[in-house]
Amino acid sequence: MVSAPVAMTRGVLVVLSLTLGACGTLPQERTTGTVTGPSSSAPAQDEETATGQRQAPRDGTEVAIYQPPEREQPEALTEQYPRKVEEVSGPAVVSLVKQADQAAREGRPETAIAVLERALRIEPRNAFVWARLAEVRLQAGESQQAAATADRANSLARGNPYLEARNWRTLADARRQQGDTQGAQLARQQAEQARLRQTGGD
Amino acid sequence: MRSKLRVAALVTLAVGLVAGSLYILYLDQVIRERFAGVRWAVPSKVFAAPLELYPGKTMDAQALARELDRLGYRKVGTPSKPGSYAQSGRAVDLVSRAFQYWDGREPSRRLFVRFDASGIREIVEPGVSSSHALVRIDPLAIGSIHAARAEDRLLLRREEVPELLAKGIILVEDRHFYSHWGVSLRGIARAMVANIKAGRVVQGGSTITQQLVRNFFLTLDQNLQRKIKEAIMAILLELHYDKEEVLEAYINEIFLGQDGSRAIHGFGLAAGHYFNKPVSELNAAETALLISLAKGASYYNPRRHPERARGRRDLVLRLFRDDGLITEETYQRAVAAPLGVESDGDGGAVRYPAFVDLVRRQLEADYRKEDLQSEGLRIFTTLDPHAQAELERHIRDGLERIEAQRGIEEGSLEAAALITRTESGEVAALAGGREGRYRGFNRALDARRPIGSLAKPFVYHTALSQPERFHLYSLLEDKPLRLEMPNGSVWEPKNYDADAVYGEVRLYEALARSYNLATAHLGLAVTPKAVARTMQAAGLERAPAALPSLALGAIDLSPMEVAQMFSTLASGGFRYPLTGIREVTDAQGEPLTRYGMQVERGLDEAPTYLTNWALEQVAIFGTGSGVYRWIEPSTRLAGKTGTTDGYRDAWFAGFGGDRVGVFWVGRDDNQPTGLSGASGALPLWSATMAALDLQSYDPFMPSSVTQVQIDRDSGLRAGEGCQKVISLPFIEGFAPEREAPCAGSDTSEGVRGWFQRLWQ
Repeated sequence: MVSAPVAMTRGVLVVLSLTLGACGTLPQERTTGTVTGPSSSAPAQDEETATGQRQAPRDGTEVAIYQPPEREQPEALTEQYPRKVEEVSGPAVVSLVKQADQAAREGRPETAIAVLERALRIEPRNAFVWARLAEVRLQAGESQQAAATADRANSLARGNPYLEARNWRTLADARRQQGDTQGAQLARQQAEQARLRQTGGD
Repeated sequence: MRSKLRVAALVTLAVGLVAGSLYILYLDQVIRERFAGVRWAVPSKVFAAPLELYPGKTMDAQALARELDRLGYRKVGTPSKPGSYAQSGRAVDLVSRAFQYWDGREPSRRLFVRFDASGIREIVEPGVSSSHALVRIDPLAIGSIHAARAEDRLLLRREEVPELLAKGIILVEDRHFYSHWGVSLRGIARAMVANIKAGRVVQGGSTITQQLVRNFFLTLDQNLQRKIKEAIMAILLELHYDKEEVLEAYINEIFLGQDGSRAIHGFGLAAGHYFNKPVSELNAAETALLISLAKGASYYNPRRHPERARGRRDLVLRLFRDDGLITEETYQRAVAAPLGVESDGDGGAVRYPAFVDLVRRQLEADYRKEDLQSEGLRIFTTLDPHAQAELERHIRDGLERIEAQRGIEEGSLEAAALITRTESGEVAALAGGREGRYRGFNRALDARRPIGSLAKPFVYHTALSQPERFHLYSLLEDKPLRLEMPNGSVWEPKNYDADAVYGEVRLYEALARSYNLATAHLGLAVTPKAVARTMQAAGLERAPAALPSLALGAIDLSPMEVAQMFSTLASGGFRYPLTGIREVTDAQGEPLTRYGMQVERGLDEAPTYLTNWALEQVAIFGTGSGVYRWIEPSTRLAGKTGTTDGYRDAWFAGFGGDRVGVFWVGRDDNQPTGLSGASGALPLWSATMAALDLQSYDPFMPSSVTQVQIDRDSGLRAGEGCQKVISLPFIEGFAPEREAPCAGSDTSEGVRGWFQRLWQ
């Protein structure tokens, strides 16, 4: 029933899942996302229908078979989360973050913001840069943008407790500045929870 | 009697002297005011985003060479001057140009850029020990913002003017510039002789100072009164200012060409206009041609009268040589050189008018129109010249091909499109119509058309935001619908195949295949009001009419508005207001306004992740599967087709990992084209995105989402024994709890499971 290529692909996915497992989420299972259901022969609505020219990229199989879910990652693996921007970034971004840190230290958060945005154009989903941008926006007194940026940073953190703790602290301060004491309290609790998930302390 | 006459004469003389003195004082005042605050009206200069080079960037040597060509860098054997480069298979050696950015000046650098198979490996500068982490290449000037009829110029300081140009101007226009005091009697005498001989005015005899005065104030007619006024003012000018200041003003003021409604003033802008390079990079032949134009920019216009211009240029080159400004060898090479005038030069207001239009509108919220047109602001934008060029090319080629293949009247189709960067909302490219250079109706911003099925993702998002009611595998009913509206009309939507009714369909499938009836029912179930709210949360600024037909796209939107909404989906629910600008500085480079990246939470992450999952299915098996005729099959992407009643509008909106693209194809007179979203807009979208190496869509699964395997027949949780399984994302806590009948731990199935595990 199972053709060899499918099984092999799944094998690769399993390996991939294990290597990415440290990040807490699993890659979407694409081989089994096969869609040749009951109405597969129905004409597509918008298209003058299937030309048949496309080499099916991901739905080449008629039927996918149940595969046991991956097990949850043990806590100990959180140690593998990167803590510093240098661990996950190219040299261009590292050098820009250094520039930004210097500008922020010298009381020029506006410059730091511009430099970090330049870094994000190079690595748009670098969660460390987003987290730093949120902090610097807070320093610049832009509490509303600081909160939104920390929110974005959290959504890219992929469970990294070091980043999440930073982002929640930024959120807590931003909310306090905006007069949202209850929200600030909640954010502080989140920051504490993230900190507890850190293995080494920081 | 006599004494009376004498008194009268004296009084007249005195009055005359006083009046004359007053007149001179008045002229003095005028000329000093005009000159002291040499405040030319300088239109704002608009720049594309600079190319950033860094180790690890995915780019090959050919691509870098192409970008340098676009910037007017010259390809040479060994680059030594700014604005030149050499390329081999895996290396580019270049000398960059110095440039004043918003955050400081970057000097000219000699750079060796080395590539490997994956991109840039290192960027080495002689005398610098380690590879540069990051360097910028001076950005492309893409236009200026000026008044309807205006003078345009690029101001040069005296020290920025190359010696050959300065000396050449003096040699050709006013040999005795450094020895006269504003007017030259010798020059006038020589001119008079020449004019008398010819019987008409053939020679001006004006000094550079006089020419400057004339350009400042006066018209070109040469009557005696004006001549006298001009001479007086020239002398006054020289009393107040030194020669270098006068020469600098002349170099910036002189009229050197006309570009549509824009007058080209000064050598700085003329160098860009004719040769697409800064004045510092002009060679002898080019310098001579520009000096020729001072004599009569339209008479010697090199684009219109190349022979005439060449004759004059060679004459000027001869003067250069005879005076020792250039060597015999340079002279020989220069006269042998073609005119070398670029067909579209710096582009000025011509290059990418639709994008500059977006920039202008955005700026007008913060700046007065007059300031934009006269203060010489420097505007740094988000435009990616490569993306823009590919966009224009694929719209042009795509429409021609579609017209030819489908027997559509040639030239009848129009198009509009935007390409934005997913994680910042920056507009990378924009097409306002089929002709990129045409400065007309900007369809990307101003053409509001019904969006058809592009509305559907927002209907399904609304439903998926209610996980207690809907998930991706929910059953929807695709069945006929007839609604009497409050105004008495009847709404009776049909499927794309008007007779088709698909019955029970899964939710994700209804979106992927764009079923109208199922969607119309779903829209009613979640209420049109909630759909309208979702659209606004995605960034639609106007409140759409909350009618049932909204679910099927009965709302007129511009491509720009659609792009805003889809970019919010693309970034996982975060809304980045679309922008065309990064920074604005004044003429000296001092920062005025930063248009920083803004981010807001727009749509909830989890339902957005689910909606985008279904939009991926559009490309995998749904109405958008044609994209993989152009795009590498391993590239994941999400998108949606849209077609409106009678095939009037064809849409495709979609995104990969790094870019969002929205394309519209239709006719300006709103007549049917016979094209669907898939046949009209999708090919243009796909060809453009393929050319731009669209990155794979790669969302991070939110922590509130869980992937569950579902038995296709029962729609319940799958287990070991299940054969037809689909793996779907669900919002945590709302996946089916019950196990499918096939999931049971039947031993016979267990053996099969053991074999399967062997395979894995």
